[in-house]
Amino acid sequence: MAAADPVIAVEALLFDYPGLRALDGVSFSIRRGTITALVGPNGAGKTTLLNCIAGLVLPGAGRVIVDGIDVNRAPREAHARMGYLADSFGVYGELTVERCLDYWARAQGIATAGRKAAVERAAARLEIADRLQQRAGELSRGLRQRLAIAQAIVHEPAVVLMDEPASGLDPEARFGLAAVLRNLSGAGMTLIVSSHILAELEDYSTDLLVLEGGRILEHRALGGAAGEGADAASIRIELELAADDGNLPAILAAAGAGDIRVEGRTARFSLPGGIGAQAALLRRLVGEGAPVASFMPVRTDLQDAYLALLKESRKG
Amino acid sequence: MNPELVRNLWVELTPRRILAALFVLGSVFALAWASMQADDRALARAALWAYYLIVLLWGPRQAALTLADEVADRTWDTQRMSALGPWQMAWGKLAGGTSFVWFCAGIALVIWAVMEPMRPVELGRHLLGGVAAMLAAFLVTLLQLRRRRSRTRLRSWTGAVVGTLIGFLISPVGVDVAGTAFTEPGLRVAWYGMSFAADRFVLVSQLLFTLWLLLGVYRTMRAELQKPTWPWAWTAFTLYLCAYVTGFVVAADPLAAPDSTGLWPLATAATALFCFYVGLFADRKDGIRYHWLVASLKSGDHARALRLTPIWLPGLAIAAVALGLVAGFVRLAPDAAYPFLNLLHGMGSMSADIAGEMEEFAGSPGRWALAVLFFLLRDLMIVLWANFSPRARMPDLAAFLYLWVLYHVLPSLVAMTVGVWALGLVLPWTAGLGWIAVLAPALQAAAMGGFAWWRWRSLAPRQA
Repeated sequence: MAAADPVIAVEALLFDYPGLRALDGVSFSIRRGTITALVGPNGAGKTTLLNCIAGLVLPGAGRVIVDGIDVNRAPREAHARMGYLADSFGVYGELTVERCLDYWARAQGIATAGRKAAVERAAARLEIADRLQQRAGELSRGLRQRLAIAQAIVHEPAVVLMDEPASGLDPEARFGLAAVLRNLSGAGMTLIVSSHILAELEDYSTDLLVLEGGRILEHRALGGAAGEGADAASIRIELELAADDGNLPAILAAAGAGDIRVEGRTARFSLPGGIGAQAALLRRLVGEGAPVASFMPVRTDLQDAYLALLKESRKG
Repeated sequence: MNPELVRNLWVELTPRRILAALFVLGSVFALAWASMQADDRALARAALWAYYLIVLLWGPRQAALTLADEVADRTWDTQRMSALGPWQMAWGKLAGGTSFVWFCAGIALVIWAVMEPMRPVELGRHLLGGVAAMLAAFLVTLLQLRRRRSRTRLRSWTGAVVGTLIGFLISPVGVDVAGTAFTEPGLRVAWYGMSFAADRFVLVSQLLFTLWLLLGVYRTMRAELQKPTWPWAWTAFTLYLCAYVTGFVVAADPLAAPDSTGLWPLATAATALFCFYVGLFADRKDGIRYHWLVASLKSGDHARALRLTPIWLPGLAIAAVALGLVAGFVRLAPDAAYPFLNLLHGMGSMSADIAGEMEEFAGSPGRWALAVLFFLLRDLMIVLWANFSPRARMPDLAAFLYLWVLYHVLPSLVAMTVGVWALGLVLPWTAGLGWIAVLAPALQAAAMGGFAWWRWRSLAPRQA
């Protein structure tokens, strides 16, 4: 999937481990302001890909451009535009939360005048402003996670990379994390989030990047989510009638619906044209006397789509 | 102010620790002064001992831990994502991480300076010894980190031990223990035929070696932070060390000291070989890196190829040139071989027969240089072969053991079972076998090269 104004451009990336090609000519670009779910089975190359984008390792070949900077030629300049939450992150347990954030603000080159505000802003975004005087080592796993994310975004980077951010969190903390990620995206940051928990990714992701065997299986915008371009895409809709109606397929087809599947009183179909087209179809159904009991867009089931994709890929 | 320094100072120099250090060290020195009947000189000596215990034992350990702790606490990768440059990162960690050590050492050094008549050169040498110890410990730990693919744990004791050794050698403690007594007033050192006051010469030498260590730390940190880094610094250090060591055997007047004329190319070559082996063992010998190097060269990406070039490669080239220098020098002036032979006689390592055979060296220096070069290549292939094993746990240690057996055990065995005439098959300094002494290491190098190549090929990536 190419993007007009990519904030991340990866070109023909190659990375090897002894006896294993972990990334095999990976190329893609990421649109500004999106949240990309990076998924794939264990050993697919997700962490290696994130490490390459972060400039933590030199790839065997290929290029990574982040916000216009070649990561392998000018890693420190690229890091000033990036935040990274590693799978196994650490925090300075002996320092207070405020000092941790202050240190990272200094390390990312924020001038003295703006440092206090940057620390307060990051703490507020991650809802840890009430913990500023607590030692980082005394925080719960969920709060340490929030502190680590606050550290990663204290300099308001254009791009934030997160490797398995939800691992080890309890359900409440996971729910909070989803809100945090949406909040960061709302603030204009572009996120790539790698995770195994697809149901959660579905809550906040706008794009999907599937990796298997070091290659990209799929990269696309997710329908039903708030992604750019989602309005123009076909939306899957589920319709339930109170009683059987033999005219239903004809009405749907006449309204421009595609891939119509009717089972008893339930129909599933795709409808292009966004919410305007949905309203028009609903008016038409009611106008033609169809006993509509419910009418709702169906969110893409990321897990089903992912599993189907893997199955198809392995068959091929 | 350097953010990394500030962070370390927050942790290291807390008011509680400062007060505790003042209380403990103050009490110890007060007790020492009282028990020595207020003898100022004795207290000064005790303070200097305390200073060296602190900077040579605790300091290197602390310097190594500044990095090892980051890896253990999983903060190192996050730190690498900061905008801090390699210089800021290196000196911030070194100065900040060892700030408490320096605070305690400073107390001891102040007591020494107050109780002894102040000598700035000596003070400089004491300080440089401590700085060099910590720089070396940090550098070795950083090199260890660069060599590891798995970065979940990093041992700090290797760096600490090497740091202690380097600090010991560079500080006046080591120099005095070696019995050279360079600090004696009036003693002079001859270097490239020029005469220098010994204490000042040693101070400048220590200062330059400390600066080289600092450059090494900077360049290694630069590579660790993924900034494009070419291996010129190690090459420059090899050339510097060759020039430095050679200076001691170049006489001011070759006519007045004819025995020393043949030694300088040999000193250059020996130093180059030493640097080659140090570089070979210190460098990351990751088989994948060599695959990428070949791929970069094939695709014409020279900038990437330079980043991937191992530091032993320029070292090998310098060693080959230095060996050529020895051969050329002996060919032009056959008498120049005699100091070399005298040196071997002096070492008592040769029998009269061997000495006789060695005299052939003067007639065929090129053959000798080729034999040394092939042994060098064989050793290189042994080290690479050990490192290309996918299951090797400590490949460099294994390679070191193989080389120790090949150079120390095997020659004795050959001499006892076959005869001394066959030593040229296993050692590079016997010319009694003629061209066989060249062919033998060449075959060994080719065989080991084949084994290393086979292992390297098996590391070629397959699709996941």
